[in-house]
Amino acid sequence: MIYFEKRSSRGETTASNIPKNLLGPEWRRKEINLPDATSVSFVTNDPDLIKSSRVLKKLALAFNSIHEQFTDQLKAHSHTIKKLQGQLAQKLDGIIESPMLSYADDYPTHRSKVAVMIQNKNELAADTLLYLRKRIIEMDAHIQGFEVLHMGEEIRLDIQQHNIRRILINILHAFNDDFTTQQIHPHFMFDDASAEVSKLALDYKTINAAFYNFLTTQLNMQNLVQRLDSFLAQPT
Amino acid sequence: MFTIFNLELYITGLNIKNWFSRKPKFTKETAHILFVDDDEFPVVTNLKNAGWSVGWVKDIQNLQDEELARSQIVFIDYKGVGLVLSEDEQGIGLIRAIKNTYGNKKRVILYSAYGRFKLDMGFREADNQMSKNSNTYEFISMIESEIKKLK
Repeated sequence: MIYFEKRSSRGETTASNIPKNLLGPEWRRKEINLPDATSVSFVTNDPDLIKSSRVLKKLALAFNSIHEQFTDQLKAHSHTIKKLQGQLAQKLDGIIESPMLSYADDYPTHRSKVAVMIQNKNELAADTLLYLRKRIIEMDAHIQGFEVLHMGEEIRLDIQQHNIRRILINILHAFNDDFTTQQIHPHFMFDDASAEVSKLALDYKTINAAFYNFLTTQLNMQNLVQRLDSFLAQPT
Repeated sequence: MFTIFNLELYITGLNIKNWFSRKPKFTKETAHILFVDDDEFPVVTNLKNAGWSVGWVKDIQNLQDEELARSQIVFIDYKGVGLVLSEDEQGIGLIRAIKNTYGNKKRVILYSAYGRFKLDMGFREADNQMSKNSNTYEFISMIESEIKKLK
């Protein structure tokens, strides 16, 4: 048996599969220092596995490379989640400016104070709810993508009959502010009744994530094209 | 040591310590804050609603940019900005360029959703750093603290 452990340049363990209660003189540890000042240790009860320093060094580099690749994916995931969390928190701050103003010793009073704040700014409250909904859909699409791309999750489709018009409205709803800014007017060529009669068999989560990413890309492209148009229209 | 001489000064309203304490050069009413970020964050609106003078631009094309020139506190994203002035280093390169041009006249804050481990590399270039997932209270605390450091 052989176990691995990765340590940072400060000596902290960043990845390890060594069991906590691994004791006994038969277990030997060999540490390989890497060029970036981190290290990879091998712990084994089979001395033959660690007798070649050359092989261990190659193995340490390979282990380190896999670890770095995985942590880079996690960092990218963490970056997106932190960004979305910041946007959600700040948007809520906009409607409940300071928790100091709404806080009360008991929850019903606290809730009533928040209700008064919302009553005084209906439009802002509606804007906040739509914004939160959009970011939650974005987060859902991101988590779906991350799990499939990086966590090795098997895509298990949950095929059900769905009203495609309602699914599309659910996604379009999240992009309405972008559509207004870019003067895009989505129009359905079929009504809810016909979509209800002719339901489509599909996986809701996959379609949601796919359309979200499709629309995001399209809007970014549209934005780029508009900027390019205005740049080209400038007198030389 | 508190002497009779100090006591007299206190009584007469002439606290000797106040002679050397510096009044902040900028205040909430006079400072302008700029966010350079390719993504829109609600904190910009929140700060405006709280009475701060705030601007948001997706990038800085040149260092004489009017919005940049009038700002005292500049928040700069780590990625997706500085594409014209520092394509390779992006936010870090933009911070370096601003500091080289304006020196201590501006407080430049690196703000990002990347972890501190990654920000450490650019920290020396910026006057301070903060995480993008901070709430409005944290932004205001940072701004109030940075305003006092303006020279």
